[in-house]
Amino acid sequence: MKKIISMTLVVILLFACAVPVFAAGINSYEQKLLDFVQTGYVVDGTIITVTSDILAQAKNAFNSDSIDVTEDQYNQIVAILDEGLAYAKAHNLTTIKDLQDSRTDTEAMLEYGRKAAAVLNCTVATEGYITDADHGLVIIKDADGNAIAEFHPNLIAKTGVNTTAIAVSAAAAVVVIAVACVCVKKFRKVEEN
Amino acid sequence: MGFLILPLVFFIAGYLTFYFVLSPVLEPVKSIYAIAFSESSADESAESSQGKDLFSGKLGVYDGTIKASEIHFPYVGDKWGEITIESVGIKDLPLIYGDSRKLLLKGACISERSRLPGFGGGTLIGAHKYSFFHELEYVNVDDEVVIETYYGTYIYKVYKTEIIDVDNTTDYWDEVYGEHETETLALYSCYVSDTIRTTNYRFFAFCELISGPQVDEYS
Repeated sequence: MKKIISMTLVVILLFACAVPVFAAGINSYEQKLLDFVQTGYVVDGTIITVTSDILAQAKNAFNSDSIDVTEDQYNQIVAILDEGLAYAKAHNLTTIKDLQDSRTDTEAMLEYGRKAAAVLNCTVATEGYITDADHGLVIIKDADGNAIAEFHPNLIAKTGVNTTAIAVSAAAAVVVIAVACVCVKKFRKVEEN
Repeated sequence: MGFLILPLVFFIAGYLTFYFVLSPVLEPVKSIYAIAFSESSADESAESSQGKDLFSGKLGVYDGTIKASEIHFPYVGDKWGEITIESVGIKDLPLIYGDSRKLLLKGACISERSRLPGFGGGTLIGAHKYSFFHELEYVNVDDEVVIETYYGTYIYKVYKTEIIDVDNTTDYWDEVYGEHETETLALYSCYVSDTIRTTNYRFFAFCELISGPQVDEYS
């Protein structure tokens, strides 16, 4: 009887201790990282700092159950951010437009992002070209494949008509038709001769 | 050979040309078709392929403080709540975490570059006009907006509506990221005059928080 009671107590204690604890919330190292990226840096006379919307996304990512930054991870990430910043300074990168002008720079900055994500056991994937306002997407996933964050260039979902594409396509259609007419005319002339 | 090659070349060139000309129009039509004729409801599609349903009905938590460590933070694609605007007939519309083009087909989507209700700061939620937020542009100042989340209930009141060109970020930036006495909520959808054409304009309804529990993300 005593054995049954004690076993029952052990089982109850085990269940009592199995309170779900999530890693949601921002710990001190995550806050240090947030403070770090808010520090203004000067590149070619322009002050770069993280904007409020990106800061919000970073806070959301740190609230994820999958991320709980440790001191060691903090140090590694800061070192990678310093490298990334040095690259940005060396190539005068200050805005998204600078990345749009150079695929090499975009890939380089993405690689720094991948390194930082890897410190947290996360991966970075892309859909489309990441600076494409309409289709570009950067996806950060944890080790289990859960998408912690997705980043696209536009803050507001954009559904505007791409008038440039229509104009170019219409011009191409006219050229195709014109060339077809010329070819048919020449062919008929050859036939008549 | 000329009888075969020339027509073939022009057929391919013509097909490609018309494809690229029509694709900006085809995409919204395909989206509307998928929503109108999809066999699954908006609720079911929140769970398909990407995202779990965190919301299991109203919790009845209207105030107080919740520790972030006691709740699961949503992953991209998760359904985290439902939004109701009684005055315009929007009822129990699913709220999805993330706002990529795919997720916008599933419900009203929160921008990951804004905060969930209760986490402090502004909340930015958008949805397609021709599906989920069709009636949003009829909302008025003082209308009530209720957001039921998987951790509490949030009640907002509309204080301003505006039609904004999305390229003019200053028109909405302060409402979402500026300093306010309470949390703010910005709801938006495309603004067009009853056409299928896509647009650069958005209808915004800006709301202030009246009640809801606060989430302590630092405890």
